[in-house]
Amino acid sequence: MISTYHPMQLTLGLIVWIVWFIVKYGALVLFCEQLPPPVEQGAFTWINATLLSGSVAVTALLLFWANNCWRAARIGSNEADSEINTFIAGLGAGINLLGAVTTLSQGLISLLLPPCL
Amino acid sequence: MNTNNETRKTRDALHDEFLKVWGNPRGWHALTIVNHTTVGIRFMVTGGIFFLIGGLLAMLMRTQLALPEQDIIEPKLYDQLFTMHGTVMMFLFAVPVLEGLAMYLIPKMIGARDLVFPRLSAFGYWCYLFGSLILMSSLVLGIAPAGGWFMYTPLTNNVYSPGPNVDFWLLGVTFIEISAVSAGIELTVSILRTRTSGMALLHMPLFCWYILVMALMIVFGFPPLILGSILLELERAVGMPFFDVARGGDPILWQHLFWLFGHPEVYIIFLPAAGIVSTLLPVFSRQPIVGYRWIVLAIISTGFISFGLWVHHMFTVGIPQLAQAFFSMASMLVAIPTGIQLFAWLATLWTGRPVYHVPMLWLVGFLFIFMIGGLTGVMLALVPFNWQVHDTHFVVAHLHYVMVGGMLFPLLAGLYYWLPHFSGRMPSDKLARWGFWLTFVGFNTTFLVMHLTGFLGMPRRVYTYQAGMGWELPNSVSSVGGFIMAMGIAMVLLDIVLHFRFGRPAGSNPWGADTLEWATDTPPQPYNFISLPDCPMRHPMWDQPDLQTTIAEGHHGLSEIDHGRRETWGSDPVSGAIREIIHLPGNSWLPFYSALALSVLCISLLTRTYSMALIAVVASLLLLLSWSWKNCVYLEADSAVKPGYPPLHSRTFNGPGLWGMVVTLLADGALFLAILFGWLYLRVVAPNWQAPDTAPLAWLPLLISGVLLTVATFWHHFIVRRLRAGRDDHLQGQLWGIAVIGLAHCCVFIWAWSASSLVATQTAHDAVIAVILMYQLFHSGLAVIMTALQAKRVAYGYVGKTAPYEIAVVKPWWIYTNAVFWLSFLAVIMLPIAWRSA
Repeated sequence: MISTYHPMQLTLGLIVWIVWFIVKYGALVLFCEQLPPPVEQGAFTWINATLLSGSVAVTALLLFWANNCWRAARIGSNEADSEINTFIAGLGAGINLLGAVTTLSQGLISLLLPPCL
Repeated sequence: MNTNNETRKTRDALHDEFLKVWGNPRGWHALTIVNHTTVGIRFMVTGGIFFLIGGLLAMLMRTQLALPEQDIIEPKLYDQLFTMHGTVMMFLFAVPVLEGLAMYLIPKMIGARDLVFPRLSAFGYWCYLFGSLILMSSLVLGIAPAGGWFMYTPLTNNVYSPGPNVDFWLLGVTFIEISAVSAGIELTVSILRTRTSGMALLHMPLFCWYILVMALMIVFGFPPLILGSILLELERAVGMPFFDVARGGDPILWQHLFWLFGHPEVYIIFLPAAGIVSTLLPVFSRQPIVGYRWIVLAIISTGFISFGLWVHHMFTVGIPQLAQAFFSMASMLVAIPTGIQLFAWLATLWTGRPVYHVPMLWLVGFLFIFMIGGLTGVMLALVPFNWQVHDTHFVVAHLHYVMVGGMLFPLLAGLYYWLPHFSGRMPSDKLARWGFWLTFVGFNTTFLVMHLTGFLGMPRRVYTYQAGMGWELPNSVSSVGGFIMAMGIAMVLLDIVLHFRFGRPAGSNPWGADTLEWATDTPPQPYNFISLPDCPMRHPMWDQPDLQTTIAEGHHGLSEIDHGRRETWGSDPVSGAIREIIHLPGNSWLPFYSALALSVLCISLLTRTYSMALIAVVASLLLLLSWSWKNCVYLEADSAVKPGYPPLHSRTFNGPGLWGMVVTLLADGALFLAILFGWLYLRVVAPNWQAPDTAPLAWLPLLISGVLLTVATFWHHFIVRRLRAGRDDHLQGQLWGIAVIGLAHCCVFIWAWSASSLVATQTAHDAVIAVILMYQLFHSGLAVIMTALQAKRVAYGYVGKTAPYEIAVVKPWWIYTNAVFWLSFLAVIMLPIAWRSA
């Protein structure tokens, strides 16, 4: 992971979310076009399972990063730029956390709806 | 007394000296002005005029709908009116006015003297003006676009919309979007690289955060629509079938490309308006904003999440339920950052000591109206509800609550707040309050009842309705409300016009504001600040009340002007520490002439006079190359700076031009990704996709071409590394060598294309490949031209180890061109092979 004080932390969590979102949407369209599961299976299909497990994995990663940033923001840094570093790490924690919440919320829907209907 | 007189003399002398360098010409030469204050005001005034025109179109529609079965306006004209109303308000008013406000304010707020690419600002304005005039001329000629502001295909293809109506929209709006993307690049780099000394990210005024995110959203959000417009125009003009189902296209692709732009667009408009709210509320609450970091978090997350909502405009086109639910959830999640901002604003009001001057009236009106718009937005995010009210007046009411509440009310609050800054005079309190209440009451009378009209089932975009459907009363009420609102806007306009003559002098900082823009004169001088202060704080005007005086007396940095250069600080994007002096270009005819040449191109394409279009392309290219030649890089003898100061930006590797290039390539990359999306989308989803059995392009020549491109890219990279090490021997020869290899790559590429079996008008498959090839060739060709130009500049002494700036700027272009080639190779050559063998 890049440093918790790196300015990329201001966007990283949400970049990961949006990339995963695009991959998930694209994969859903592709799977439904090429290998659609029977409708009567409802939400319990291999497609839903794949999307859900992917979402959980991305959420776990984002939560891990959020925790790292949060701890870095609380400890602070010894560098001359400690104020800006703390600012970035604190915001980074929020961005990663929001990315995790968004990823998980969208992922959990896979438990409810059939994929290709 | 003597000391005061001497101080005044010093100030006046400094002012005179600065004005010699920064002053604006008059008469015809005013067309050459590039200063951000003038360009920003031009954007705002022009946008304001288009707002009035758009409002007039709305009044005509409300007159027609006031009673059932009226025939004041015939159906075809009504179609043109609602299309142009939406188009004018979105593209000609909302975005340009907010960009203009940002252009005017940002340098002043961050303690800079101008935007970082002043000629680009001016160019953007002229593109906007000419594009708007071309688009509006269609209305005067009675051939305005009539397909709705989102121009859905197949309604807008050649079969259902013959004639030039749609072409006006596609070409005019694309032209205007050049302006928007220019502003996006300009504002991003300016905010990141020209803040005054010590202004770290955490000290930036919140308005700058909002504009930074808005600018980046423009950079990523506008290219999909630019691509969509180009594709639809190619289909209409040349017959390349991107959206034609019979030939392997899909009209839904247009909807995706449009809404990939269209939904972020709502937030592109909302965020600067919210920035105005976050700037004004602390001033009138007389305390710092509550939750600065929370608001920054909300701004960034709004920017991102808004890109994950586009499909909620397409819930009725037949997308799988699970996919709809993804977008439905994202649409609800975007309420979180909006809610954070709302609570921070309420907490600021709650904990402050608010004073209710006129701008605050508009802010309170905003809170009320936008809250309703937000709530109906969450309702529309729910798929079953969305299906019920789709294409009814409910959606019209929701849209206006969001756009007027979320943009117009804060904009008018900002207008009243910064009016003393623009003119040096205060508005009339009485007229202003009349203006607010009439607008507020008129707006709610018009649109609150329109929700009911929608529930009653009245579809939007119908020019009349039968009596007895229950729609008469709500429509009449809406029309009366519309005219009350128009009176309110007229009152605001009257107040603004009269205040220039009768308004009392505002003095300095009349509202007791905290941000740096109030440290300039009111109205401001073209140079903004005589000297540039250190600003390691969020509220400089509250913490240092004498800042305006000390700045004007030249007590801070960069107050020397005897060298005759326009200068501002170049700083570190995170910490705000000073890195270099940015030398800014002065007034120039080039932006005006370049935009003029492009408008000739636009008109030529409209009238299908392709020989004239070719001449306009060559003229534009020559003008833009001339622009790049005259770029503030001087010979060593003319580049001296005061001892102790950092070097001029042309003496560095990491100047603003490099940042400008990278941000430009981000926009370019968004366009390329949209092309790849189109390619993959059609391949997977188009109901009648037709791919040939054998590859239409021979892979070996393409591979050779790609290898040549990669060699040129690596060689260029090698040169930059040598320059960094202080070595520039044989630089000119090496640059010529790179250009020759690049040219060989282009030749092989063209040969491979001409030997292919592609027929771009036959199938969507061939048409998309042709677009990818054109895109590649454009980039490769430009890389060759830029490198050849660099070689010439080495000969003149403008480029070398002491001035390595330009070569470092060109490097990302080579890398990008290379990446595009191999990604395209993968998508067009390798992927179909893998697909066929699977």
